[in-house]
This record gives sequence, C-alpha cells and structure tokens, in this order.
Amino acid sequence: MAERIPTLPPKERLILELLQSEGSLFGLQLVALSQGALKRGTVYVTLGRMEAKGYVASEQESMPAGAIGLPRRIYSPTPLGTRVLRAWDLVVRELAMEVQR
Amino acid sequence: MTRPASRALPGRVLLALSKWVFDASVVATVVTPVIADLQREVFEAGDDRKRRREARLYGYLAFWRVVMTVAFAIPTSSEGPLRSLLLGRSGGNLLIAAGIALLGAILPVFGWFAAAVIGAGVLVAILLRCWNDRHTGLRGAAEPLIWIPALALFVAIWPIFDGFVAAVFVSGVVAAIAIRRWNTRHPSAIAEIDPLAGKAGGQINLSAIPVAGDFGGLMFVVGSVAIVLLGFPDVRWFVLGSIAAGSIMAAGLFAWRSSRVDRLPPAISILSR
Repeated sequence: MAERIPTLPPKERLILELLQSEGSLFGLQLVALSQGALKRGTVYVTLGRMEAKGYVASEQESMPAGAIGLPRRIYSPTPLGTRVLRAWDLVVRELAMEVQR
Repeated sequence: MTRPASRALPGRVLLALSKWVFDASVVATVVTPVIADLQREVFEAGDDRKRRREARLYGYLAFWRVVMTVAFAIPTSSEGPLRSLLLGRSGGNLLIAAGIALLGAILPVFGWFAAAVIGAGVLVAILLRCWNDRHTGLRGAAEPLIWIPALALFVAIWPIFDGFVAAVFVSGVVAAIAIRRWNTRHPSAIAEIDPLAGKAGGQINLSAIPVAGDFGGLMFVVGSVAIVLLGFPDVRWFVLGSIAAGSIMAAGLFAWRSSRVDRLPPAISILSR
C-alpha cells in the first residue's frame, strides 16, 4: 500500500509558519500571534494532531525552583514539518502561477 | 512561578477527571497544557479579582472545548477507563448506551413495538460487533451476516404490513435464487461491475447489485413490478399500462437501433449479442 501524502490544513500551516518565524512557542503565544485565527480551546488539539503527524515536537518548560502549577509545553517545528511547509508553499506558488496564466 | 500556597490552583479536579476519560497521550499533549495555561493565567492575575475571574472563565471554556473536540480530532486508543467503557474501540458501546436511552425516551410514545424494534437492533449490533472483534481478519466473510438486519427489519414491519411482508420476502428470495442460477449458467453474460465504483460488497441497498441490460436486469424489473402489484393492488392497471407502454417504446427503440446498428458505437453491445 502506498504511503499517504502528508496534508497541511490551513491552521496547521499557520502554526508551522509561526513556529518557523518565531522559533519555539507556547500554545497561548501561538494564539496571540495568530490574531484570532487560532483559539485557545482548540490550539492544543491541532498541536496534538500535528505532533501525531510528526510536524511539531514539544517539551515541558523547565520550572524554576519553588514554582507551583503544571509546567506548560513549548512547541517547535520538526525537520519533517519544515519540509512539508516548504513543499506546500512550493505547490501553492506553482498553482497560483498556473491560475494566472 | 511562585505564589502563596493558601490559594488553590484551579483545574486539578478537571485534570484528575480527564485521566479517567482520555488516554495518557491525550492527557499529556492536549489536556494538561490547557490546565497549565489556566493555572498560569490565574497565577499571573495576582490579586486582581477581575483578571482572575476572566482567566478562570476563558480557561474553563478552553478546557470544555477541548473535551468536546478531542475525541473527533485525534486518533487515540481507549486506555482511559471511562472512555474505554463508553466508547470501546469503535464507539459501539456508546451506540448501545444511546440506543437504551432512546428506547427509554420513545417508549411512552410508541409503546412496546418501538421497544422491540430498537431492542432487536441493539441485539444485532452487539452480535455483529462481537463477531467483528473476534474475527478481525475475516470481515469480508461477514457479508452473509447482512441477512440478520434484513430479517430483523422484516420482523419489525410485520405487524404493520402483514402479508405484504411475506410476499416481499418470498419474491426477493425467489428473484435472488433465479438471478443467481442464471448468472451461474451464463457467466460470460454477467453485467460488469463499474471499475470506478470500487469493490462491490453486500449492502442494504440496491446500488451494489450488478444488473444491467441482461437477464438479471429483467428479473430485477419483474421482481420490482411484482412487489408493487402485491403491495398496491389499486394501481395494478396503471402499472400494467405503464409496462405495455414501456414495452412498445422499447420495441420501437430496439427496431430503430437494429436498423442502424452499423453506425452505433461498439459500446452499445446489447444488440450484438
């Protein structure tokens, strides 16, 4: 059976673009930078799905001594995610040129 | 992140509950970050009561939004105890629960007839589910089991349609046997299955039956007409008139096409048989 071609829905693309431009980010930072495109209730669902696909990786923040509360997760793009984003941009550019002709 | 220990951190109970509902990976990657954000924002609000209230409101809203969407958005196993109980591997157990709830809701309105129908449906669903779980490599062989829901359907509508049900059942069986025997004796004339439609499997609809302009198609038409005549005897003259008109039109078309067979594309092969 042939391997599935990676897909990149708009929200996942936006997250990858933000992570590419800003480096590692927390979920709420992604929500703030997206200017309303990402919601805090669903951003982790999208990130979880992207993590399952191998597009992003996450790790827990290191808590300072004496800190309380749960550690947050910080996200960064994986090499696969970077390649998929690059390939997707290329496809979109090619299609846009085809449409303009 | 330091703070007075006297103020309890929000979200601990929700996190504990989540561990009963979701599996470990979802709790770690989706639920815990939401709770962590909630706690962080409440902490950063400090003594500002308005900001603390807002942080709690948005944090809890985010949590429940996650609960509502995560089951559909992320493929997960059913490790969580409650989730395993409710959803099982394919959601079948939840369907059973929904069926029982529906039964309780409609029983006062429709009485025991509806109860029997739903009960039979649930029973069939459980049997099929059990069979599928135990024979995961033989799912294709389960297609003969399609007669179980078909039979259940006939039993369910029996009190309403009475003898009509028996006539339909007998007609269907006779038509199926006749088509099957004819196809076995004339294998080269079996209608081809549309290759674009994929593999045709047993289904509770007519779209998977490969009939066309052949004897199978004729049997299908005759069976359909017989069912209509048996079920609605008042329209028998209309049906018979339609058959006569259709036959005359078909004969005319056949004669016209036969006279021009050389100019027809080869795809219309019924005339060349």
